Parts: sequence; structure tokens; C-alpha cells
Amino acid sequence: MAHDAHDPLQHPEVRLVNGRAYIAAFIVATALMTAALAVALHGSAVPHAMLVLSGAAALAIAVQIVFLLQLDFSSTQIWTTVSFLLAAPLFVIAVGLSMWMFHSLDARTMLMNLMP
Amino acid sequence: MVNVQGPWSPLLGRLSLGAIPDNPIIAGAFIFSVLLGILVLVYLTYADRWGYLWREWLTTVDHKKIGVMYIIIGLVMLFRGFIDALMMRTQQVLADGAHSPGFLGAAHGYLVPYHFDQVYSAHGTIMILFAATPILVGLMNVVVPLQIGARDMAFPYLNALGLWLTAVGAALVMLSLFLGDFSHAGWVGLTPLTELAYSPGVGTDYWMWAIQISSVGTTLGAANLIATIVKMRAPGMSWGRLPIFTWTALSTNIIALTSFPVLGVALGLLGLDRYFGTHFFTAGLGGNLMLYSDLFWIWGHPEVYFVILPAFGMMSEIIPTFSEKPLFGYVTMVAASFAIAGVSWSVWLHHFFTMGASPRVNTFFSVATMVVGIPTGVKVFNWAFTVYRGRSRFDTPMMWAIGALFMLLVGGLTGMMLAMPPVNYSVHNSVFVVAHFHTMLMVVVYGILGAVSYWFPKVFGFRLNEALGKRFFWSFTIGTIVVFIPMYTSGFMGMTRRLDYLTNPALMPFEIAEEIGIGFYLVSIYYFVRQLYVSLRDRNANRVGADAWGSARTLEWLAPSPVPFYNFAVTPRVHARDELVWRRGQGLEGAAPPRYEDIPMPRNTSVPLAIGALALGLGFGLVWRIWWLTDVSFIAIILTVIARSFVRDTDYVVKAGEVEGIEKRLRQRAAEAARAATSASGIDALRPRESNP
Amino acid sequence: MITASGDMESARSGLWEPHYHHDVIATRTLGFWLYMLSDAMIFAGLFAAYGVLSHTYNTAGGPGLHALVHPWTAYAETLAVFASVLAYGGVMVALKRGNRAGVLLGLVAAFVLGAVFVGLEVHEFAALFRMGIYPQGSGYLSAFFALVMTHGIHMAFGLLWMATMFFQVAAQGFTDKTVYRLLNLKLFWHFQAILWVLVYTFVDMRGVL
Repeated sequence: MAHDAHDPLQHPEVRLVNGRAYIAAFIVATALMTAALAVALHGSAVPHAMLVLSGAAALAIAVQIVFLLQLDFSSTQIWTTVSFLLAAPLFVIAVGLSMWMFHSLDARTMLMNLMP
Repeated sequence: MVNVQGPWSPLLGRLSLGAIPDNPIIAGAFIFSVLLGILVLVYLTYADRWGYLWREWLTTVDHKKIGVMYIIIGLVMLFRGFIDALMMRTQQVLADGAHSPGFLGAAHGYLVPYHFDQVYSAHGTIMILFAATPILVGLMNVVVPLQIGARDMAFPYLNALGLWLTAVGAALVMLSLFLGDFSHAGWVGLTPLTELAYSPGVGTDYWMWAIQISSVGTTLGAANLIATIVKMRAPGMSWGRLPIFTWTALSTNIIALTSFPVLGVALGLLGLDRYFGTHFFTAGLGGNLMLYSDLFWIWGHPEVYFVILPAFGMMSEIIPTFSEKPLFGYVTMVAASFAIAGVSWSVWLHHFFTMGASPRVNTFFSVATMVVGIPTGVKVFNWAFTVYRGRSRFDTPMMWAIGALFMLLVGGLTGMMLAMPPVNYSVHNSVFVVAHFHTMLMVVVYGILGAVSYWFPKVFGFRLNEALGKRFFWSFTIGTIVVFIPMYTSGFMGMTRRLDYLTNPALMPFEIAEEIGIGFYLVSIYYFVRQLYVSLRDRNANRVGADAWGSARTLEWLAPSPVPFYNFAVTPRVHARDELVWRRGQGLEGAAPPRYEDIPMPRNTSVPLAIGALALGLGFGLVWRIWWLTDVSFIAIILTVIARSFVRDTDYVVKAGEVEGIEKRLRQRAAEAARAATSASGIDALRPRESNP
Repeated sequence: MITASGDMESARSGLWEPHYHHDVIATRTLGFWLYMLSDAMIFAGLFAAYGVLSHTYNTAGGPGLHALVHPWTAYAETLAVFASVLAYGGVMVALKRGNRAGVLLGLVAAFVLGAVFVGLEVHEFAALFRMGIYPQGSGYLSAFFALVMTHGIHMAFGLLWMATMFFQVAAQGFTDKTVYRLLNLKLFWHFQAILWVLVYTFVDMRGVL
């Protein structure tokens, strides 16, 4: 890890930057979100619309992570990637299990009956 | 912004003379604190120590000093939390049965229900967040950089900031004793009791902001420690050679980093309810009060493992040292730590099984909870096999570690019982649960007390008195047994928790036994204070060299004791998992670096202290709704952070000659200490050295 | 491994690593990235709260999601965020080339586009307030405003940070400190864009459906 820190601009994390990746990410992410808008506006025509939207969001996030944050398994980025891979499931667990338990709770406390 | 009951003025908010409680117990505590404060101030002025305090402690960025200050805060709050426990036990032993007498305006016992509720809420909040957490963070601060061969933490300035934010939280809790009141809704903050409609006073606000501010500090500290462990290891310190305590510090800080923000959300949303009148946790208008429990325990359960994993790490350092044998099953120990950390993220519903989620949900969380028993069991067997056929010595740290093992056994087995929803339904909210989690937290306390006596000589250069340490251990252990076995029993007999008055006279014998146990704790505190005093008095007789125990194994024992501010004069190269054992085997134990070099070090700074002071203003203003104070403090914090970012000159260089001088002096003193030790006992010199496998 | 005890001097010199230094920039960016992951968990908590409180029961008879979202405003906000991120990409490319003027120009562009986002959001909320829709209305509305506003506040802090970096780079040029701060700001800004994708999809688009 020892390096001569004389020129910070020579640091691998600065050298990592790639202008074309930014443009590609912008185009792809914008296209995906535009598609999501189209799906949402014509929701009744699309089967499993929410699933399609989730897929578009997952893709857009993946594109941003790979092209903008440039997470990969190179020696420069390995710990960034590992920490992200460790933390991301916790996000899903916290949201998913919460919604699951309250969904079951709502059903059992008969809140469903209050629906119009 | 919602309107609150009672008077409010733009200048002082809700603060008025009426906020000062008129209660003889609090008055006594106030006089005690003021006298203690005056004593400290007089000493500082008389001994001309203000400059020393400012230069060496208040503005320091040295990880060891910050760690020591964390531990001091934790020990002071531990004492405060203990006094709360004493008050609760005394209330319950007095207020038992319809004919029990009442004092100080209480119908039974000496505490009115509202006051009793504050006492147990303060006890829980303090013990978890302002005693256990700071002491553990402090120990990790002291030990981890030394164990990995680093000069300091990755972010020394941030480290100091974390300390002062924790101190602000502790200060707010202490302030609530004399100005206003504290939360009466349990340390978990039961909704909707914490809502403004049911808790119109400032107590809940004190509780909320004290936790919120200190948990920001803990989160920052967690990021700091992880970055330190990942990026600051000495050459040769591969992942396979990392000491177990550092491994547990890593796993525990991953937990802290990811779970504390959720606590921030839970308390933040409660704050929105209390200050802006939103409806997150209200009983009406579409709020969901169980959502609070959900968010709170998403943090709360990982927090349980946040406090216990470092204790496991401490045991894993102490037991091999005093068994003079490598730790059994290093790889499984690491794997078990991470398994516990991982599973800790999907068990939180077991704190509210009785909420009424479907059997499928309860089963999922029940099984996940039981799964935790597997890696924990692996750990217990690893420790047992480490002691097995080892050359065991029962110095004080080892006594604490073995004690922790027994606590873990009892606490773990009762935990398995509670993991079963049918059992849980019948003992939910009984003191059986209280006894269970106290036994678990005793693992942490035993680990901490063992670790303090284990690493004390590393930081201060002399050992703690052994005979008094053993008396401390035994009186503490008898106290633990006499308090918690009756508590388990009365829990099974149906005694619910948080009672200021017991209707069932059959519980009286248990309450008396617990009161006696508390008496033993009181004795143990006496021995602890006496141990500190005697050890400090006789410090010249108890000086130690780099390896304070003669059989230490890991890298921190390579640095001189006490550790100089730069830790290692030259960064060591690591060759083995137990580096010190390896060097000892090669006959290189005392080898000094061939030449010294200039060391760049971070400068002291008063900015973290200033931000801490502003955060205290912010917290105090929020509690009392003094809006000008909150606004000024908040803006000042942001401006301070921005201004600090423009400072370029944050480091300085220690010259090689100066380093050489310090090292020579420390070596000379260590050699004298070693001579004195050999002539005193002669045992250390004869002890055979095992080689590294 | 050293086995011969004869060559003590060479054994000793292998015990130490003189002039060992850590990579300051890499340590800083990792530390900040860890903080960002921690920040993400704040959003996990808020999304969990939003998910739990989006039952019809939680609206307490008040307006639901359909009444709150405007697909085209949300879409315009998305474009502003993505364009601002692209402009920040310009900052990074200029940094790689050591072009200070380019960095400053990129910061201004990213700031302006970010400000457009914040402006659109303020406008959106002002419209809701005019319709009498407040966070105090129901548990559902509380969760909605808390989630979207927390993201908005993050964006506003990003703008403050950009302004600070503008002056710092202008005054101090490219030092270790300014460079790692620009890299950290990159992490922060890109992360907000990722979170916006989640808000856009699971709040706005779900409401349009």
C-alpha cells in the first residue's frame, strides 16, 4: 500500500475515472427511467407492472454502480465492493422482513376489512 | 411545530425554576455531584493541571487517550446505572404486599410510580448506551490499532469527535437528573407512551436526544474502526493473522455501522411526532405504534451482538494468554463471529413475538434466533479446548474470562428457551426475561472487567493489584448469583417487570435475596475503587515491560508499556498469527529497530471539543424547545465543519532523535521492572516458553 | 522464516518496515464509503416505515398516494439528478487531467442542475401544502413526506458541499485533502442518484400505477 503521495492526481482512484462510462450510464439510466414512466402511465396494459418497474429500477441501479461508482474486484476497489455486498442485503432484510411481518399482522388484526 | 403544555418563552423555552425537582434523593445526588465537581476543580487549579488537561486530554487525537476517556465516561455512567439498580431493588423489597409502609410521599416504598419508572428507564438507557457501549468502543480504540501495528486510527480527528458526541449524550442524561426529569417509558421507549399526549414533559426528549447524539458518535466511530482495520494493518498482518479481538471488533463495527442509523430513524420519526405532530406511532390517524418497536429492534437486536462480540474477542485474547497455548480453532472463531453478526440481522421480531404476527413469521424469527446458538456453541467449545491441557494461570483477567464463560452458558440456555414462541408468550415481560438479558450483559461486564485488568498495564505501564482484583471478582460474582437466580425464579412465578409495587407477598424472600446480592455488588465496587487506589499508590512496584504477563501473544505487547504516543517507533513486520510468540521462539523478543526515523503525527485540535459543546447546546435547546439556541448551535456546527476543512496544516513530524530518546527511556525502565520482578518471585524466569506451532 | 540463529542482524532487520506509510486518499474514500452505506440504512428505515404505513388504513381517510404524485414532475426531477451526476462526471474527468478550471466549471454545472432538482421538489411540496396536504394529516402522509424530504435534504447538503469544494479547489488547488474530498463528494452525489431511483420507482411510479 506504500506509495509516494506527492501527486494526488496520480492516485489510482482518480485514474479510474472514465468519461465514456459516465455518458453510457446517463443514457442507459435515463432510458430505463423513461421506460418506467411509460409503463406506469399505461399500467393497466402491462402485466405485472410493479414487477417490471422493480426490474427497471434494479437495472438502473446496477448500471450506476458499475459505471459511475465503478465497483469491481480490482485491488483499488475491492473493499468498496465487498462492503457494499455486505451492506446491500441488510437493506433488503430490513425493508422486506418489516413489510412481511406487518402484512401478516394487518391480516390477523383484520385491518384488511377496513379497506374500501 | 406543535404547542406544548405549560409556559414557554422565546428566550428560555420551557425552562423555568419549576424544572428543578424537589426530592430529597435528587437533592442528595445534586449535593454529592456539586461537591465532587468542586473537588475536581479545586484540585485542577491547585495542582495547576488545567494546561495539562487541555493539551494532553481535551484536545488530544491519540487513540489510546481517547479510548481511556471513553472508558472513564463508561465507568462513571456504570456507577450511575448501578445506583439506579440499587434504588429499584430497594423499592421492590420495601413495596411488597398491601401493608408495606410508604415514605417520601409514596403509598408503598419510597419512590412514587412516576419516579420509579424514570429510574428503570434511566438504568437501562445508561447501562446499554452510556456504560457498555462507551467502554467497549474505548477498549477497541485502545487495542485495535496496537494489535494491527498502526500508529493511530484511520481518522484521529473523527475519533475525537465521536468521543465528544458520546460525552454530550452522557451529559444530557446526567443533566436530566437535576433539570427537568427523565423518560418514564422504559429504555426502549414504549409507544404510544412516548408520544407527546402521554408524556408531555421533557423526560422523553432528554432520553431521545441523548441517544440520538451519542449514536451519531458511535456510527462515526464504527466507520473509523472498520477503515482502520481494512487499511492500516502493518505489513505481513494478513487477514489470517489478525488477532481475534480485532476480528470481533470488525464484525461488531459492521453491526454498529449498519444498525445505528435505523435507531436514528426510529427516534427521529418519534421526534417528528413529538415536535411536528406527525402520526408515525400515534394510536390514531393512521399511525402504527408497533412500527416503532419494529424499527427500534432492527437496531436493538444487532446492538445486543454489538456489545457481546467484543466481549467474545476479549475472552479469546485472555484465555490463550493465561493458558499459554494458541487459541483453539482460530478459523471457526472468526467464522462464528461473522455468523453471529450476520444472523443478528434477522432475529429482531423475537423481542415482540406477542405482537400477533402469523405463526409463519414467528417461526422464521424463532428458528433464526435458535441458529445463533450454533456459532456461540462453537465459541464456547473453542475456549474450553484452549484451556484443556494448557498451562492455566488464574490471574484476575483469566478469572473474569472464565466467569464470562459461565454467564454465557446460563444466559445462552435461557435465551434458547425464550426463542421458542410458546415459552415466550408465557414469560413475556416477566422478570425471567430481565434475568436472562442481565446474564447475557454480565458476559459483557465480565469481559470488560477482564479486559480492563488485562490491558491496563499496556496503557499505564503498571499492573493492577492482584489480591484486590480477586476480591473484586468474588464479591461481584456472589452478587451476580444472589441477584439473578432469585430473579429467574420469581420470573417463573409470574412476576412482571417494571413493578413499583408487588401485590404478591410470596415474592418477598426473592426480593430480600436480591437486595442482599446488591449489597455484594456494593462491596465489589469498594474493592474496585480500592484496587485502583492501591495500584496507583504502589505503581512503581508493579511496573511491567512490553509483555506485561510474560505469556502474551499478540502484537500490542511488542510496543513498550506504557505505549508512547506514536505506538511503534518503526512499523513492525508481522510473521505469524501470534507474532510475539513467534519472536520469542526466535529469541528476538526484545529486538529493537536498527535505526529510528521521523514520524508524521496528527496535531492536537480543539475543534472536536468545540463541536461537542455546540452539540450539547443543540441537544439542550431541543429538549427545552429553546429555538434560538438550536438554530445557533446547528448553524455553528456546520460552519465549524466547513472552516475546519480549509485548514491545511493538520500534521507535524516527530524527529528521529526524539523517538530514540523516548524509546531508550522506556526500555531502561522496562529492564528495571523485569529485574525487580525476577528478584521478587523468580517464577517468571523459570517459566518455559512454548514455540509457535 | 528465519531459522539460523547465527545471522541475528539480518533477522532483526526483517522485523521492521522502515518508512511505512498508508495511502491517505484510499483510506479516506473507504471511510466515507462506509459512512454512505450507513446513510443508506437511514433510507432502509424510512422505506420500511413507508412500506408499513402505506396500508389504506394508514391514510385515515385522507389522500393516498395517487393524489400526491405527478409523473412528469418526478420525471423532470430524475432528468435533473442524472444530468447533475453527468456534470459531476465532468468534474472527475477534469480532475484526472489536472484541469482546475474544468473542475470548477463542472462543479458549477452540477450545482445548478442539483439546484433545479431541489427547486422542483420544493415547488412540488408547496403545491401539496396549498392543497392542504400536510405531513400531519395521517400516518401515511407522515411517512411519505419523511422519505422524500430526507432525500431532498441530502441533495441540499450535497449542494452546500459542492459550493464549499468550489471555493476550496479555487483557493488550494489539488492537494491530497481536496482530491479525496472531491472523490468523496462523487460517492455522495452518485449515491443520492441511486437512492433517487428507488424513490422514483417505489413512491412516484407506484403512485401513478
